[in-house]
Amino acid sequence: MNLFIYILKRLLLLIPLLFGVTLVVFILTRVVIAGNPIDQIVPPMASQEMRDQLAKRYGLTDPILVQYGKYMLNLVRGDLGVSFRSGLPVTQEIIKFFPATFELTTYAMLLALLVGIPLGVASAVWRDTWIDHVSRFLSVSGISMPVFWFSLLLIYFFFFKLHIAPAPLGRMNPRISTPDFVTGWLTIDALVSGNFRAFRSAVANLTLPTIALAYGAMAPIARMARSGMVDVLSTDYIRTARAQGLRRRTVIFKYALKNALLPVVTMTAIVYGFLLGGSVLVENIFAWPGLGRYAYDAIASADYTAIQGFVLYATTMYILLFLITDLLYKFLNPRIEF
Amino acid sequence: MASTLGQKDTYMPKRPTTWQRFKRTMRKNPVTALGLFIVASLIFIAIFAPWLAPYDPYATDPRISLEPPSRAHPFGTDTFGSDVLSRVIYGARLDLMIAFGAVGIALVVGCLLGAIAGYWEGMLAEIIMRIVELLQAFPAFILALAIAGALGASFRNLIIAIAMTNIPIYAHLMRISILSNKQHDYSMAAVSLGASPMRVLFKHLLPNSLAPIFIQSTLQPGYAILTAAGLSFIGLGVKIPEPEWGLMVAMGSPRIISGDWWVSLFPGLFIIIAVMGFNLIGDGLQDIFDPQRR
Repeated sequence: MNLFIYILKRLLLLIPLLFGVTLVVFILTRVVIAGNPIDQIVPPMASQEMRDQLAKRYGLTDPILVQYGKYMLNLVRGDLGVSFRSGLPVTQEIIKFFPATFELTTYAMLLALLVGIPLGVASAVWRDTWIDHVSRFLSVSGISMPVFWFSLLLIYFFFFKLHIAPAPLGRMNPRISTPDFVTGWLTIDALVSGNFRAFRSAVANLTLPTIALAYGAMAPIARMARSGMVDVLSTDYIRTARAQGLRRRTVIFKYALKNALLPVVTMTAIVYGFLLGGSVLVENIFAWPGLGRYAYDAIASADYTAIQGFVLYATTMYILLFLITDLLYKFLNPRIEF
Repeated sequence: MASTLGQKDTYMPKRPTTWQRFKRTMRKNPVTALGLFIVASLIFIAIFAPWLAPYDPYATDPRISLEPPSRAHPFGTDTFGSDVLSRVIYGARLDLMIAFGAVGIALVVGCLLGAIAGYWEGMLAEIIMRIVELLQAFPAFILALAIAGALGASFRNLIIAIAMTNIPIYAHLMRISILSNKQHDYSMAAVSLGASPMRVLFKHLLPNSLAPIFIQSTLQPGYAILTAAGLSFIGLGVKIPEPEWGLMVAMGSPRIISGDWWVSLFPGLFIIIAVMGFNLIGDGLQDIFDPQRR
């Protein structure tokens, strides 16, 4: 019951935070904004009359407080406004582009965890040996490397030089028919419909952008796993376990690992935020039809409702994930009481 | 090391000079030394760019467009026929200016906010810390993207956008530092001697709270360079033909599929070297000041 109240409290605390976030985004896209958004949609020769009409239609002539009120009312109803560029509701567009990004970032996250955790643990267990040095070098280079540059490098080697990877042009070979929409994840949809050619193509196209995103995300995970493991290995209960003559493997996997990985849980939300930011860069390079590319196109054409929609969506996602990992951390760590 | 001073017969060991202590610390921490060396070299390159660069970074020549690396152009030429090496050298200037500018602004603003929030606990502190937390609710790159997008792409706005994402960390560090230092006897003593709050804050508390700020400040410029390069890559930073590393990678990116690797490769390598340099210093300092962390 206590737990239930705790979760409820945390959810209630989200409301002022999300409210603040919408306020910041509103100020940025309606008050601070350089230039008049109307300039972006009318032809340069448009008459003043036409401009006024459009400004009125988009509610840009209202007092700022009225604009804010309308914006909030619409937001509560899930309405992010109409894209200046396409004339379609931004909410609808985000729903359309969401699965491609969700699929890419999730695979990247999984890959980062699968590589980062063993790397960090190995680094801690064989501390100050060559394994540690190599793994630390890998993680320093991972955080130091611009993700867009790494993407280009991957394309150069695996597409241009070695001809192993497909051209960086979207989620699938366009000559293969796309599987019917089930989840929006092409890999899953293809498997469900038994279309193995589509599955292979989807996996092939996913590989490079996933690696590109995962390399940067792997670094903080490996670091966290390493420092968590180092801390745990120096505790009394591990020393006791060793002193009792337990096998090294048992000590590490049965006793140390669980506690060492706790901090990694909290790290995943931050890493996911990094992946959302990185997707803007990576999707643009791989012509990936997801939200990152949507945001990039919106920036290029100064489509402010779309940018605003993307920022709100990404931040809400980030905040929710933060909450989930935080709760998960508390569930997994019996030392914390509610 | 004492032998270098030529004082063999003295029994009293001389107190090592700052330079000797520095040398000893660096010898014990080769990683930090490497980081310092990288950053110092980049600053050198940035300052002496006009003498080091073999060509004018803005000069274009369509006749030598996209030439692979050669003796005349060690890093090749880009689409406009500009010398990539010269542009990379001038890029050190621009990228370091953005990084130090953004981190400098964030440092001053963040520390002031944190100091105020830590010293005068109350309504004002609440408001400041809520705003800081609000900034942290956004994924960093996406906040920078939103700010740069709203302000419009320019050198100045790029610095502002990156500074905004760096303010929270300084505000938090400063606030925590001030809160704990406030409890110390020396601060109580100053207060009881009748020092004004301003004097206590700026003369006593601030100088004693700078160590964690200093360590953080060696890490932040690296991230600032990455963010700046990313924003320029998507057109929200400086504009063509400015020699900014991220923008140069972007200019080369359409040519990668046709195999012209050098336009993007070299500026990207410099980004990595620069960011790594700052990271190595920061990591090393953390180890030196807090050996427990290792």
